[in-house]
Amino acid sequence: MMTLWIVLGAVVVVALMLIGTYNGLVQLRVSVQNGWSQIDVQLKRRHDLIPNLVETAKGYMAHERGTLESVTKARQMAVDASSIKDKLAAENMLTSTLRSLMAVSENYPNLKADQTMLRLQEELTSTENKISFARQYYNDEVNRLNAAVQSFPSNVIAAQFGFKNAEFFEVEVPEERTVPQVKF
Amino acid sequence: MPFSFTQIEQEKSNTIKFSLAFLLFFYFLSALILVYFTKAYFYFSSLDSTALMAPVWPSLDGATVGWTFVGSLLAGGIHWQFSQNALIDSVIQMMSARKVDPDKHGERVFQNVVEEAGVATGGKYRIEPYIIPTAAMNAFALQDFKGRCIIGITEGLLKRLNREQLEAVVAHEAGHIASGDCLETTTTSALFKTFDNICDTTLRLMMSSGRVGLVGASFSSNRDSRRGGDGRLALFFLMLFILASILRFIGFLGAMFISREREYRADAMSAKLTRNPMALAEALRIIDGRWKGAGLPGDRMEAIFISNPRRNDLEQRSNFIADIFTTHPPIEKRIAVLLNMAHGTQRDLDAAVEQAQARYETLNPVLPQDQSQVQKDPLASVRGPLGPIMMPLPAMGVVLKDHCPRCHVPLIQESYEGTPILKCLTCQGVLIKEMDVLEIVHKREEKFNDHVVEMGQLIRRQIKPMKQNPFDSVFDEKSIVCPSCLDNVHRMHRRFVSPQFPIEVDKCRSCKRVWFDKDELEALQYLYELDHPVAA
Repeated sequence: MMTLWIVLGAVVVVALMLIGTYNGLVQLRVSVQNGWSQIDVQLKRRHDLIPNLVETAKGYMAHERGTLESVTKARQMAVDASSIKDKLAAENMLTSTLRSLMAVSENYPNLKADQTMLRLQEELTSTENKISFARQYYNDEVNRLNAAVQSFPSNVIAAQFGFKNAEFFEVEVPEERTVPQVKF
Repeated sequence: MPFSFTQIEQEKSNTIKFSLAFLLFFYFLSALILVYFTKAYFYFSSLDSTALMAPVWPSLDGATVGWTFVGSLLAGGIHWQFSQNALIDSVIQMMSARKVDPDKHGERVFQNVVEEAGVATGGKYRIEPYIIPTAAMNAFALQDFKGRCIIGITEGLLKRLNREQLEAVVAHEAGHIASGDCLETTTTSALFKTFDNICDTTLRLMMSSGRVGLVGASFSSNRDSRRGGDGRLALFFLMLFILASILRFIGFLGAMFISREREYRADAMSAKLTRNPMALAEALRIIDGRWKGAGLPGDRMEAIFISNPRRNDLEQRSNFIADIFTTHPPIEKRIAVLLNMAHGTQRDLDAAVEQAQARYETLNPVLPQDQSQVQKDPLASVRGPLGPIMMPLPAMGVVLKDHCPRCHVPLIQESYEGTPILKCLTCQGVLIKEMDVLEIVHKREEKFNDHVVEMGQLIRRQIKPMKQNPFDSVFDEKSIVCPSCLDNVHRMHRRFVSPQFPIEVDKCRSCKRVWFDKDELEALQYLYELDHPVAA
């Protein structure tokens, strides 16, 4: 009789642990998804800002057609990208083209003084910051999920229920990829 | 040091428990004292004069303590339920903070930066940006148990920080929110403030009831019973006052639990978030040495600010007593820690601050009339009660006789409304004999420009419930040397002109001369004329 109780108790404890671990994993997965959607919102916002920015800049920098076009093209690629991997590449590309646009715009004092440009630039800066903060948060959560998926004993349950490692949102340093094009 | 906001969050629950326990204890203690005093009051008022000679103090038995505990639990719960909504609102009202105006560029930037901080916490907090309309330099954060968060900044500070510095300051405040510091400080500050008010009210009631008693006595000598009654009423209020004072002291103890270490922690979190410790060091240096808002309604709520609004000499030390009694560490130490993180030196910092200042001046130039947007903003032109942008940096050069203490150019002898003054043509500051100030103030000749009127009205609005001792003066290594007597040891003290005219000026104690920065003298005249209108 005693043994039966002990076995029953042990079963209950193990079951509770299983449930707890499973729920913990679900929670982590949800918070990773939440982290990603945070990034997504900000990326969309950046896509929305760019046409205005290009339109405003066009009026002042007619000689920089190449730079402006590359920004528009990079934006289109980022909007079209579907898988996370493509998205990362496209967004990193977009970031670097935007940087070179900003660098070039330094040469146009009239553009810098334009009120609309000032506002757009502020919004863009803010959005870029939000993207990087959201990325920081997302990567933190991915870190936690991956640690749980790989470490014992939660890895057993993870494998059983199909919890997978999530992908980090890594940025390559844009300066290393492209040199800002300055045409005269 | 936790590595992600989620981890910080988990640590936070302890803080919440601690705050709740403290609050409960607070209610229990106050209820106990109240019960005891009531009992004592009824006991003594039932005694006749002979028994009063040898009073036996009543004691509380276990059952009474138990019931008091239950009662205080109930009262605490009810008060809790009601005060939850009002907690933040009342604090905001006390500081007369307002929401941001997204149409103004600077405030929009602030709103954006606060939103960024919200994103950094994984969107868990909706942080509301608020602005305190004063020229002082400070920032604060609030949070209640419902999760409502607020980050506020004074207009003066907002105008002077560039974006990176603003980000650093907001990240510091967000760090406070994430780690739960704000719950602690908001609760204790609000409690402290409440009992402070009760103290004042009972004191006033006591005075008035005592006076009624005396008046009654002098008018009708035969109404002895009434006089006795009023006397006892006054006594009751005295008891209440003592009670409230005790509670206030307990609140003060609570404030003492707020460790100054948390400021270092929030600084570190800001550095981690923005990866830019230098910007925070610059912001702290910009705040340091300027008027941080002492005397404003936010008084007694030091703990919620990034830098203590009241200058506290104790704060500059780092011994055990200072650790217990102060809420903020010495600013120099904080800057040193941040510089260490950034691998920077004091010289880098000074250079960066100067550069930021130059940027501020180019970004906020005194614009010609057609740029109406900036002109409309009253604070764009107010250079702050501590003077124009060229505040003396710590490394001040030698001051020459009758040279401007700020710009080091010769002062020009001028006549202002018939009184001789020394004026700096660069920064528009003036040096006047203390006696002559009265002369100038009494005359009504000059018309005031819009800046002065706006500045005067700003000061009048924000200073009404002033509690701080108006005669407090500040004297430190950043004080300026009097250009008249050149006494390097007894430098000029920064202080208000008078309680009625809270304009901060520099006063020399040896030769009784006063240094007014640009527009300060005019603002003083304006305030004086507001209070003494010309008979029509």
